[in-house]
Amino acid sequence: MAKKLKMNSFLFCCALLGALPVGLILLALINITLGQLSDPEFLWLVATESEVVGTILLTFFAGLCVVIILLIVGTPLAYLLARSTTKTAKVIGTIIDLPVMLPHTIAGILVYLLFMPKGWLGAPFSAIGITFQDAFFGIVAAMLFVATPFYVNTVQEGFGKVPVHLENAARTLGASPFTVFRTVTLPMTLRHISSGSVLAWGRSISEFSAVIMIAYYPMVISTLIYNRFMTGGLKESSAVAFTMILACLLIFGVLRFVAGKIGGTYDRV
Amino acid sequence: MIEFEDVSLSLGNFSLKDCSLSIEEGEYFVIMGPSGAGKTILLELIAGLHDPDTGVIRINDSDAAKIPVEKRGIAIVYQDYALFPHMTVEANICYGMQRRHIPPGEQTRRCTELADSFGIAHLLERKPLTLSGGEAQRVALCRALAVKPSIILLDEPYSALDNETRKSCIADMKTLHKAGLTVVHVTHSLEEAKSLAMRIAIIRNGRVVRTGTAEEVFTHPMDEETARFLGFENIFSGDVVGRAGRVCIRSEDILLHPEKIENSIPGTVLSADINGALRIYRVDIGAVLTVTLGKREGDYPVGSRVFVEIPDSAVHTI
Repeated sequence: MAKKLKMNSFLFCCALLGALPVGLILLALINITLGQLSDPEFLWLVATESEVVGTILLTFFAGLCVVIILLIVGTPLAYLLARSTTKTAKVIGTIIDLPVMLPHTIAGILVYLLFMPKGWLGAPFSAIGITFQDAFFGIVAAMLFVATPFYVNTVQEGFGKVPVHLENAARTLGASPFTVFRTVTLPMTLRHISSGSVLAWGRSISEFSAVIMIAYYPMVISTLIYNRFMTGGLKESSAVAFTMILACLLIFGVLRFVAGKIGGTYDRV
Repeated sequence: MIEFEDVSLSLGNFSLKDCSLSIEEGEYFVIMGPSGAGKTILLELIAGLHDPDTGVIRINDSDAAKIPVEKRGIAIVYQDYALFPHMTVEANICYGMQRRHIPPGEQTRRCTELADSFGIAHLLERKPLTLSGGEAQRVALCRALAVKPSIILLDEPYSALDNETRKSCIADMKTLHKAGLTVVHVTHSLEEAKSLAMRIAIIRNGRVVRTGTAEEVFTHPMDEETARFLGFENIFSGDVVGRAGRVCIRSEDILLHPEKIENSIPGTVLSADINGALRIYRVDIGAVLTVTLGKREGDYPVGSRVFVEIPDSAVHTI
């Protein structure tokens, strides 16, 4: 339930200072919007270009693949990390966090070294015909590398909020560990899983430096905008950028609406 | 029947050491002890949620280590009830029955029956977070009973309830126990223990320091700390009223008189405190005694001279 905040001088100062970051984002958006709307024909031309549409769809799809992979392998990891208090768990938590700390070009180098045709993972995969260099799988690998901490940390926090004794009670009532997870833990964590997925997806589609190291082609949207900026100039690249902004706003609007319907918050358990 | 044989377990800050006890079928067994003594661990060991580091737990003469939690037929009711917040009250009560593949018709029948008998039939569609403490307590109890457990474990189930609700919940438990249920009840409330226990175990710092019938434990606490825990305010060593060794006396068993009577000890009132309808006096008779009197049993100002009567039956040797 929304409670009305009673204004005082401290809150007023918070609002004043907080207006800066909000204002910056809004100003930037208004700036590009007005610029683009002054030449709607050119915008339409660029936005409907098959390369632009194709690239946006490819980027979105690669992000979706990352989310699906994370749902399958990141969720169990997050559960283990939330339930374990051992030193090993702490070390693993730190390893998972590394990509957040590293500059993304370094993440790109790391992924490239591993997945290049002669890399530790690239070599065996190319033996069975799967290549990562300048290929869709390379994009997914780079995105996965940078997005994992965002998903795992969010979901781990969600699992941590489910009291262990709720699971214990379910066990004594006759549920196997997996059934407890399926019927108690997971439903109570849906909100964190959905926001972790949105975060990971957002992180994936915005990735540039890690992706270009292993796969300049096929271009993801960041690569395309950079490419157009270098070859066609500001006007062309900002039209592509604006198209992507619109697509993102649409998708995130839908996702937020859907995510709001999923699960609940059970802080007062 | 549950048997613990030299069971030890250490879990971070909590540990249980060389714990041996046995709980008979149909018994109302109360485990008492101060906070952090290891009471909850003991319950979770019975339920199978932890395995002992050393020692053996036997349930109905078979090694409990071989019976997984979900097959033990032991239900637990936690202090904060541990209701599943994302399910309705009805789904909570039916949860265990679903896991046991009881047909839906039978589930509904049993759920309605239990809800009726505990007076929560009107709550079935509600979500747990909207319930009051007493309501949630009853839902948790119904959920545990719905699977027809052979043993029910209660972990301080009434600590968050107001007095009225607590009394009616205690009455519920008495009825269930009379119907043949084995109950293991953890509490630090003397009142609950007195009104429910057939046998009591007292646990302190991870060790079982005393077991016995309620009568035995409350009259012969065995050691000073246990005596204090059980509410004996007056503990003395030496020779008191003809008994040597250490003795303990409940403050409410001592009487005060304004005039000398036979076998009374003269003393001076050091302090007088009001606690509801009770008067709590500290009286100097050579040693300092705590005495609790009802309001009508006299009013003695600080400094007044009184005569202390300690009935023979009030003196318990440790």
